[in-house]
Amino acid sequence: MTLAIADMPDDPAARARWLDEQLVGDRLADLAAEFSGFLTEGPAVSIDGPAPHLAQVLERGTAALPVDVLQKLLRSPATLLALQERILLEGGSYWAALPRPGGLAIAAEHTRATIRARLSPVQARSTARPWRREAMRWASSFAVAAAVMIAFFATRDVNRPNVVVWGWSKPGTLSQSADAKSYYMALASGAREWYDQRPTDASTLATRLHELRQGCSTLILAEHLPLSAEQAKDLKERCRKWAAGFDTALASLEAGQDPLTVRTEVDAIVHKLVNYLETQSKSA
Amino acid sequence: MTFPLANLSDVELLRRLGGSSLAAAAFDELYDRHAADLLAFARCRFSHIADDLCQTAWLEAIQRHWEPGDTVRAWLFRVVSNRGVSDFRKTRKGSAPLPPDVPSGDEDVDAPLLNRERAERVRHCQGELRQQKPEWSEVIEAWLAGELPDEAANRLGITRDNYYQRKKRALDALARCIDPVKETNP
Repeated sequence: MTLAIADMPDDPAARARWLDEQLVGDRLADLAAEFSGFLTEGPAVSIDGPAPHLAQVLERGTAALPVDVLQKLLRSPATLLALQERILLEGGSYWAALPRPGGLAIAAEHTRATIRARLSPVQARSTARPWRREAMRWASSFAVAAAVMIAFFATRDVNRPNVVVWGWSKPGTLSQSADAKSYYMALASGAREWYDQRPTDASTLATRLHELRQGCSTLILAEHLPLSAEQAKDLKERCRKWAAGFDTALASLEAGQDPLTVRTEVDAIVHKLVNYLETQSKSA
Repeated sequence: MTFPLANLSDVELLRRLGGSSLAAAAFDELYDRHAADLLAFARCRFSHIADDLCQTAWLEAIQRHWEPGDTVRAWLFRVVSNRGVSDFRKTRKGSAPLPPDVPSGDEDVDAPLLNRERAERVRHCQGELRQQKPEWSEVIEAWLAGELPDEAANRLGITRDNYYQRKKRALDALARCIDPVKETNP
């Protein structure tokens, strides 16, 4: 691995642009580690502070920062990574126009092919193609589109993606127009669906457990409009813990633990979470 | 001529993943818009599982797990982040630390560290360089501090060419020290 810092320009005036390219690249973590090794690591820098630095950075890049703030930024790995997230999510046209590392595009293309392979192994082999943004829209033409549509839809019965139709992932379970009481009840009811199937073999249990875990992601990422901010926060925090429990159970299963033992452990978690949801419903 | 899907919003594209005849093209359009940045984000935080995390996020998008309230892009990033943290928790007895900008949300998780091993190796190698080649080390320190090459060369009493020579040698030595595998197995 090369030093990420090695191609930093000599001229401080050119460093802002170079740093901007790093901020949208995939070696920022290495760079931040190297900065924190070479320079004395400083505390997190507030770029949200009283001056409108962040808004300017999002619009024009780090050249908008005063030199002393830029130097502090380099000494704060946590701030660099936090800034990267803000830029990738909220950055304006300046950031969109910055070149991305070529390797990233190739890797992203590889991931696209893998996704297709996961959806339809046979079709994906004929749809792999090099990364060319414009070409992707046109050159691949109907053959690719047709192949992927087949992957998505026509092969649904035999290669159907793992669409979960029970529990919290079931459409409508997390109705954002319900009141808090009904919302909690619906969640409890969704969770109880875990008991509807009692798989005894590792493979089926793993699938079921994976679906349950997927429901947690749905719950963690949902807005929970019927709940107060505090209720929603508490629910998400608990869900993260339940999810960790399911992850552990899945890992145990994959490590060869007896499926019935694992299922019993998961039953206990589900029992607890249903109790919590029912209690919340009663007090809502 | 403009491809019509390019004019659609992310949400409109996402809706088309669910069964329209444009599903494949809608996916490609959505993927083109966000995939590279999502992967960069994942690699900078969860490098060992970044590809898997992105795959998961995209598969969840295809399965239409997104809900109104977040932009599609923010949702994809959040899936990657949440899944990455979850994986960390699962394997926290190992050596992979949480990225410093990710709150652990768990009291028993160690204080977040950033690629600490690499930072410490850098620190160690810089110390070695200071001891063994102080004249190279001072050039590197001037460069890191943002001192212009001509000014630094003047201050150090060396020519501009010498400055660049020392800088190159110092960086080569540091790279060999920080990633010693390259030296024995180029």
